[in-house]
Amino acid sequence: MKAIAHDRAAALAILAGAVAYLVGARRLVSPAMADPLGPTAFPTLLGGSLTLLAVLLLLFPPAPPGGAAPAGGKGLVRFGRSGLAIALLVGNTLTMEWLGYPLSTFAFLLGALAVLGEKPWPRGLLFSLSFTAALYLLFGRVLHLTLPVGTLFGGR
Amino acid sequence: MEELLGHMAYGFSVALAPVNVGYALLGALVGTLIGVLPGIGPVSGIAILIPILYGMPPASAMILLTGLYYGTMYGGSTTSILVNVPGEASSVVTTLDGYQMALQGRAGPALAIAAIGSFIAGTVSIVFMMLFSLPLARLALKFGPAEYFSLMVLGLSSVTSLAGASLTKALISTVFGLMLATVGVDLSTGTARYTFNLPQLLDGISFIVAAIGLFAVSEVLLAIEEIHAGERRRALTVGRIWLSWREFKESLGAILRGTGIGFYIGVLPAAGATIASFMAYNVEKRLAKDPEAFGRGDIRGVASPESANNAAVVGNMVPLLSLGIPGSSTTALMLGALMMLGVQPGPLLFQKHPDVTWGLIASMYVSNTMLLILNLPLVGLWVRILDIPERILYPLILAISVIGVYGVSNSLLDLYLGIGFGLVGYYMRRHDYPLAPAVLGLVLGGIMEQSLRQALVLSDGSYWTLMNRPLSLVLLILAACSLVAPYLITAFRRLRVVAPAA
Repeated sequence: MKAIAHDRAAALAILAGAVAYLVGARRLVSPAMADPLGPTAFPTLLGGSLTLLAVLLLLFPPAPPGGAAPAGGKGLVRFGRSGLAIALLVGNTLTMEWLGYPLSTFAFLLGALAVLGEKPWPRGLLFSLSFTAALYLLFGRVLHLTLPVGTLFGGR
Repeated sequence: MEELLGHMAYGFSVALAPVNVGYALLGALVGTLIGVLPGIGPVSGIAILIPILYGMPPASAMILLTGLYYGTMYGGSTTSILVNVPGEASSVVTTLDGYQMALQGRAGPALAIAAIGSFIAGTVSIVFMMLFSLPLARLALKFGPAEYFSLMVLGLSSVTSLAGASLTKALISTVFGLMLATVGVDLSTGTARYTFNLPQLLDGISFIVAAIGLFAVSEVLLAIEEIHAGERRRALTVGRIWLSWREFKESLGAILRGTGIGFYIGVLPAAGATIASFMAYNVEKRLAKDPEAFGRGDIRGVASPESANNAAVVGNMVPLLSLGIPGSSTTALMLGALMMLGVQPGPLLFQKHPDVTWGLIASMYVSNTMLLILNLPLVGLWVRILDIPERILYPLILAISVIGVYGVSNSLLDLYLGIGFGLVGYYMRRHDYPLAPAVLGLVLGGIMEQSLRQALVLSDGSYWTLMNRPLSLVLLILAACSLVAPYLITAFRRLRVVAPAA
């Protein structure tokens, strides 16, 4: 029952998204060109389809499969540690260009290993250092991808 | 036939020159590495190698690039199978059964069948290419915009019908992917759509960002949650490393069918390895006596898409070599590399530069054999990844995902988008929305819209053009059938069960 209620709530959210998408499509400026569809027709078709599908999901939510997902509060509690991982990813993104790739990745790995239960000292520190060095060498030096040096250290 | 054998003998004399064998090996190694690493596809790989092509003989340059292209297809399946993270778009469908096999401790057989299937598909496809190159290329030209639109519809309906328990949720996932494809500048009119005034979004949302977020980040989030809830999902043991004879026999039909489908779809410009892998998987599931086994760790679900994507790589070469038309972004780059080296691709290429064409075809055999020799021993090594404790493996996957997204585009916005997609993917997995249709929608959406618009321009705005052209009509009927067929088959089976009881 919880899964069905959840699907109905999700259907309302999808419906809201579909309507917002359709409004965005209507606001697009369509230049007068020899193009029967223009830039708005395909998005309108997609927005309309999603609206219809959201209504279908609202009216006829599927029976939950065997392994029904935990819903509501329990789901949020379960998400706690994963939320920490997301926070670390966001922190890594925020600091990457300022601290530079090696330092921000080292900090991120140290945090992520701790979130997953690895002892920060000495193994976590050792893993973080060696993984960061290996990734930097492989991607930065061998594959020549541009990785930020860090504005903190006068780089770009 | 004698003339063909003469050409091949000449081709092998070019391909087996020690320097060219070295280039093929370098391409195969770099390609496998690029395929294994999520985020860096064959296009980036070729772009990385272009600076070293200057001054190389054209035949050697093409041998290097083809080895790399092949290698990415071999490597792309590895992370799909081991950690549910597709290395390439064409390996997305491999996650459906490959990862399930890994969870059951059968990662070794899955990786082995991916390598063996790729080898058989590559080898058979090269024979097809030698024999049917020109007629097939001419047939591909019969595909107009209407046929392409219908082919994309068929591709999407195929994957939608086979993914997930609920058709409504699978369709929502597909439409979500298509919506993502509408972000960016509309190529026909130059109108910016859904970019929220962010210049970084003008180019659209990259497949890499969406795939890494939806698959890799969401996989790690789920794993963290389940580890701490005490619900281990990963195989505790590595299990068997090698494929049994029975498993090989079981997969052989799937490999051969995947080869045929992959090669033909690969010949069609713009269709490519991704749609080929989805189509092959769908056909295999439809033909199976036990379709319910697919998605639960069936070896045929790995054999068929992995064969199809390798066959499609060879198919991609047909329009490039015969007509000078690149069938994908990868072959477009290869075309650019050829022109950079002073070779004009097109119908006269076989006569003017036989060393390039026949040398390249012969080198495909060489690369294929090399990759099999390289990949089979690697199966044991790759499977050892499953021995790495989860608390170490998952942070490493996240770190590689970050570099895969940022390293290609150098955009922080892409990283935020990747995190957002991770959360969306987490939600979708938790609530049984299949991920594969969303990714395929993003990959095919742009081509689909452009094809529809071109078809309507050519028909003065008449939608009947999609029905009037026989090939387009057949494809649309097949698309409708693939959506409805599973339900009809289920209903028919129920009737058969009820009838004797009555």
